[in-house]
Amino acid sequence: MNDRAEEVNQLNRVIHEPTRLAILSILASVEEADFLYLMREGGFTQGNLSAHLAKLEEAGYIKIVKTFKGKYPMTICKLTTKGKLEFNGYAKRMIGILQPQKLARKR
Amino acid sequence: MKDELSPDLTPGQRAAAYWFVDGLPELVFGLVFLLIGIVPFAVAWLHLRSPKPVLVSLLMVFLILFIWDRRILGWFKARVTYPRTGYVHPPADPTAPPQDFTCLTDPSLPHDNENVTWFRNRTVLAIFTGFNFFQLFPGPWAPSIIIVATAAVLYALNRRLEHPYSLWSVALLAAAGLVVHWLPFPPEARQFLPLLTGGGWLFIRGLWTLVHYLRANPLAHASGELVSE
Repeated sequence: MNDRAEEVNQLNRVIHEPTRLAILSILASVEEADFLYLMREGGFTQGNLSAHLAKLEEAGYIKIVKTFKGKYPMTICKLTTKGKLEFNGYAKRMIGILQPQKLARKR
Repeated sequence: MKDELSPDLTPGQRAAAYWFVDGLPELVFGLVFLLIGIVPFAVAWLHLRSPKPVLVSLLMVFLILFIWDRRILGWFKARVTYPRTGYVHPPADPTAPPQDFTCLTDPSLPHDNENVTWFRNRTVLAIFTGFNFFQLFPGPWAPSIIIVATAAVLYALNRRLEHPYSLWSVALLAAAGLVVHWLPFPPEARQFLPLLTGGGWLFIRGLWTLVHYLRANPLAHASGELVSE
């Protein structure tokens, strides 16, 4: 197996899933977001999003907090430190796979 | 809901643009500018005594709003926006030095994926600063020149950011600036015309956006709760 294929095999499978990757991409750019925002921003259905959030929370990449803003109940999602590190690591690995020349130039 | 945010923006930029989706920032700041701008006219027309106490109070309100806008607007958004289209952490003000001149020529978007807004630096302060320029350029055409210049500045500084103003929108502001020259305002109140016009423009924009937002996003359709498996 060549190096690039090896790199692909080693990608974090929790993150390397379209819906979860989309969720983490959104959360990586903001401090936190609620369930409704994630659902609309990602175009997910309620059940689909719930399932993937549960998976990410189980992996320790996000923290889910139920709270209130005013009188409105909210489910707020936030990347954990572990989630940020893993996501950044994943992004770097993907750049290395897709644009190895770019990564080589940076080194 | 129809997505009113540009799909070309990054997630962070969309989050920043989302801060304006309900029109509340423009509506609230516009209202404060309008009130400040109206005071001298009210004093002149109603032959009241000194406007200073009211002006100072309104300026304090503006200062409080400028410093705590996230918290104040967040209170309104918790009741209007978040139940309808969700919550995302409010955008931060930029910490990097402003690149005002390069953004006029640079074809690429100037800021990164961060959830950042330039609204206070580039819209609020632009309108507020225009009001101060009156002292430097006295004369009958000063208010109109300042308003037209403010319109141009608003367009140029924001056109590649998270909340750009369309050409027709700033053209309306510029046109209003030209029209005010021929309206019979008291001389002592002319200094406040840039603030009144800019504030009115911002307020109307905000109100228009809010009405459209509420019509497009009735509360009953919102559904955003985690489903337990």
